[in-house]
Amino acid sequence: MNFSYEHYMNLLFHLDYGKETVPSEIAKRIVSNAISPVIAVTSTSELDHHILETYNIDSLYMLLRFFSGCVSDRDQANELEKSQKDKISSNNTLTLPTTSPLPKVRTRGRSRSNSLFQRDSTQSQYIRFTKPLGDVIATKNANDMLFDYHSLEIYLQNYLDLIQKNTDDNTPYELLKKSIYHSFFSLAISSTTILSPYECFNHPVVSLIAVDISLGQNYDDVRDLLVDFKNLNSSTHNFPIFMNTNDMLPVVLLCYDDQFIEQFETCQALTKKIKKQLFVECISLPLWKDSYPSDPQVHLHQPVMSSLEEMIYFLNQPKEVTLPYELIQSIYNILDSLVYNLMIPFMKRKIAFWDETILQPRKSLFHGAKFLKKFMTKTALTHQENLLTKDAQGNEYFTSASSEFLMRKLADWSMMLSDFKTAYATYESLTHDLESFPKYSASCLEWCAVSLLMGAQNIVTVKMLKNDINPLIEKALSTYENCATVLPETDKRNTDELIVVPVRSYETRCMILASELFLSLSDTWTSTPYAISYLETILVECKLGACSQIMIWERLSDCYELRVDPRIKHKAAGTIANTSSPKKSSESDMQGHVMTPSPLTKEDVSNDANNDTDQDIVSKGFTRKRKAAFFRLMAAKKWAEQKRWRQVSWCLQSIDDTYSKIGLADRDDLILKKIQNKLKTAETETIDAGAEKNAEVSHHEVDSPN
Amino acid sequence: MPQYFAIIGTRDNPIYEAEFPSISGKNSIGFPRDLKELNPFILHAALDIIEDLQWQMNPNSGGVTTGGYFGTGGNSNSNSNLSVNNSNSSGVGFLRNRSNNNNNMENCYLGKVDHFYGLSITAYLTYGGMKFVMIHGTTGDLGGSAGGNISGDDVGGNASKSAVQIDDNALKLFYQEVHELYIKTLMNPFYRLNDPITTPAFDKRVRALARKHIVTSK
Amino acid sequence: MPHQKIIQTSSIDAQSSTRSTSNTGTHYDDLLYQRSLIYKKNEISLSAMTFLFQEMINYLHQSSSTMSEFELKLSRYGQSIGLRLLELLNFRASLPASLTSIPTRSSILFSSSAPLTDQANSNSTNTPDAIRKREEESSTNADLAKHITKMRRRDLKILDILQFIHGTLWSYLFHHVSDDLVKSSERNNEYMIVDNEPQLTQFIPQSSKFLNSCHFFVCGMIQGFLLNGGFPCSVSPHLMPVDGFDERVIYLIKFDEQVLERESLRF
Repeated sequence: MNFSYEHYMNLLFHLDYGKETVPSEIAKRIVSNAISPVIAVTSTSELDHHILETYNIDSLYMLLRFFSGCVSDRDQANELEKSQKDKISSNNTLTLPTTSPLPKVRTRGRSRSNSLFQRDSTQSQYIRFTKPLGDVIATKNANDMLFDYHSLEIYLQNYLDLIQKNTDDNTPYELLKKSIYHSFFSLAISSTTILSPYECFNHPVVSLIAVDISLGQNYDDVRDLLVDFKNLNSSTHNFPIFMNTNDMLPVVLLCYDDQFIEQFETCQALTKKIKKQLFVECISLPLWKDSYPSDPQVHLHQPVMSSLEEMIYFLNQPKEVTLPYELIQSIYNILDSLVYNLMIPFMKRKIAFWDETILQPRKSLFHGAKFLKKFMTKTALTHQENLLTKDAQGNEYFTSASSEFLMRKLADWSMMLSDFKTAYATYESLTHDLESFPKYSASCLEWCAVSLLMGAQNIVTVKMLKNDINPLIEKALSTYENCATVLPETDKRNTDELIVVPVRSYETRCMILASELFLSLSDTWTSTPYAISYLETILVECKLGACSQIMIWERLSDCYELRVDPRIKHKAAGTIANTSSPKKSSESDMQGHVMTPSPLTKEDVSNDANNDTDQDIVSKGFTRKRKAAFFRLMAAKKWAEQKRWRQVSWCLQSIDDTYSKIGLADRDDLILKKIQNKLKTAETETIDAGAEKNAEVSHHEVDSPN
Repeated sequence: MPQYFAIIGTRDNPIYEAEFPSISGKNSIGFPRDLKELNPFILHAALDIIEDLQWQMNPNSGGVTTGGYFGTGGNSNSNSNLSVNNSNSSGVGFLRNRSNNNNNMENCYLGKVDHFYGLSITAYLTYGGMKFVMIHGTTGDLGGSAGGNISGDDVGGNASKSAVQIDDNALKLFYQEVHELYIKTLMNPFYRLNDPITTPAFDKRVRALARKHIVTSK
Repeated sequence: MPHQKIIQTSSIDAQSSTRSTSNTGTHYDDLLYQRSLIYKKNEISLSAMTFLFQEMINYLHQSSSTMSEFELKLSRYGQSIGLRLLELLNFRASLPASLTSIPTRSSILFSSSAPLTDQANSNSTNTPDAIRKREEESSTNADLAKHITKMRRRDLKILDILQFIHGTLWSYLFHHVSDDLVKSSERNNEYMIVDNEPQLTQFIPQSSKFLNSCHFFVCGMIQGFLLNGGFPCSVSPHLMPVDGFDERVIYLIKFDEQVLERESLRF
């Protein structure tokens, strides 16, 4: 079976893949996923109830969540396919031509691109689902934080409990640890449902409005829902001024029972009517069918965790969900259609429109006259202050109709569609335009760097890193930092805490993303120091909880592990593969020493020297493995303080080789032995007390102050 | 500022270790307990960088001559900045060597090679590849801050405490004299390469040298 | 005259081995550290050295079952000396000229002020008086490092360290630089050090089938020197008589490929 992105990101539930390697381009995937277009799912309560009855899933939104991620992967369908290759030859033959009223799904030749190594991530589209827009706005965080450190810590604790439960000391841990970091950390904090006023990655692009045809819901229901949606702007209290339902594409989803031909016909008629009278596209989904129960059932795996909110939900409901194979295929098909036939064209149209109406006029106005532009922006500075609009809470933002925000949207959407070139150019020009609005320009600077790393990953040179990308990120960080000092003047009510934290969350996200993207570059020797410096800054400056911090410590160790000069990479890989055998030989040599009968034979001296010939002298100094081991040791120490014994055990296992060879592992006066002893005591205690009590202990630890 | 000194053999094995507490009035102040447990590992972590410098033409280019270098690397993330510098200077380094082809810089004493929070790590290499390494503790109140700094949760608070000022000349002299003692040890045909040096005579002399050159008193 | 050349070893080498039989523990160690590393012209007779060498060969020959085992063991004897000389000679080369220019005078000076301490047979004089004298000596002479303003650079390149062997090491061992240092034209990891009149083996009959094998002692010294300097290699002797030098030997040094690879990466 292929090892897919989903498997990696949810490795805890696919432990049989524990010995695979980290998927290539993981950083790009994480970013793509984190900024993937959001689809808000609104459904009637009747429909949700019907789904609950049939499939034991709470709502349509919950159902669709299982299908978020890379749309073209279809990995849940592929899983079954592999076991039933004889019956089903390929995905594409299964497009249900008779029942589907859809325009025929375009077979893009990518739908089978489940293999991680073939897919060009610039061509695949990731999507996310969210609750109905109204609900999202209602839960909007007033502090403008992307995420909050405290809940991050709590969720991490819960996740670690789950790991403790699902694994043992012998579980292959290396990949799992990286997977935890990537899925939980990188993705969770960079992709949230919180609507930021400074960027629009989390603003829904599509609003899916679903009704249940089988229950007789009809045109009127659709119209009402649509009107509700369109009026959200005015009807919702505190509707964010930086958002507008006009920039979201409403799509109607008609769910019907495929058993009844008349329902299908109703759908088709309704589709025409809705398009004609409401100017909205429809998609029909055969959500029920008599043959479904007899169809092979496929276990849905947990969707890639794309936000902390999903994490909460998942941790509360770790239940098994199965769906009929055919239905899964149908859902994939309608999503394909939704994304490629409706959403992407819509986004492209919008981008083209904004480009024409906002970007081009600006360009021609200042065409080639940088000086003039500078002059203009300087004088326009006073104007710009007025561009901000106060919302109901008294916060000042660019409104959704302001050209600044539309430009930003243009850039963000270009990012979503992997048009990194446009994105970069737009962010770049925005950073100049928004210089006097640090919160806005910081984010632009950040994404300027990210778009560069995403788009030019293969051609990034040392010089670019040093002269272009790193300065951008540094500037973004310092601008974020400045926000804390700028803000009090505009809003004196805020306490320091409130000001610093929201900005910090952006800063943390920026550094995490940047570090991951740097690590994904091929010349890790040059790039890791940057990644390390960002991560260390997070440790020093961001108020992460204890366990979250340890995750960073471990990531630092990974960074050092990756710091290998490209010129000796082949050697380093070779030594990793051979570690076990040479080590044994050197051990036996050592024993030889002990056995040497007469102390007077001087051979021993020269033996020592001789053994050094085995060493790889070329690689010396071109790696940082010992640094990596040290940071792992520090992590072990910290995990022990948090009583996370599984993590301690894994850390110790990974550094055992390094330290036992040189005698540091056996010394009672050193930290390593002490941690080992603590671990032993803890393990015996666990056995005595039983698992139940252990769970209590770990929960208790969460609360106890450190 | 207490110091921890070790001689590391060709297989990363420590063959001699000593801690030099700093003298404050009549009391001597050593490392806090949790650092004592950690010191050998901190040293070990620095060996990668030392080996990198070992084979560079100008391992301490820009380091030893400009005094400001040691004072500035204060906050914790300059750790990695240092590494960036290393890799850069190595690139620039060879070119310079190629063109001039005269190297008068000495390359036994490497100066400051690494640091971990407030601790600085200096190194010296013998001709046979023995590594003399030293951790220099932080100045100021060592009782809690330096230790709590590393083990505690609040890394942020104290991490930016400036690193130790290192007197290069005194330290170099110390290393050279220990080098001499080491050679004398090695001249004993009954001493085998990479064996731990356990004789009190050696220890006594190293400590005397430390008192003479590097131990500070307040 | 050439036949009167004498092998020199450091006074410490010679003394410590004899001394250790009678002195143990810290006292012995103290003496070790009080001794100066400075070059002293203490010569031992060639016949004594040859006698020792002959005993080494005899012993190893009896304890080895094959010739290659014998060669290996002999080479290891050499290595343990080579690795020490690496540190010692480099250190001495770091000493300022003011100290190194007086070795002959200073040794005369000290042997006159404390005549017994510098002699191998002085181990009977452990009177407090003698110890005090030694300590006096140590205060002036034992600690040389403080006089060093700049340590000699560690050799990083093949050519640098080979030149040090050709010059300094050879001068130390045999009182003259080696007769030639050649790079192989065929293989770029091979170098040759030439000795026209190898001293240690001069009394071994040329007809002896052991003659070549006995050169492994010097090979070992070269190898130990290079290995610990970070240049893993193998060294083998080759008898290459030319007119006038019937015993001419070439020490062939084959560096590990890794050494060349490192050099290409680093420099």
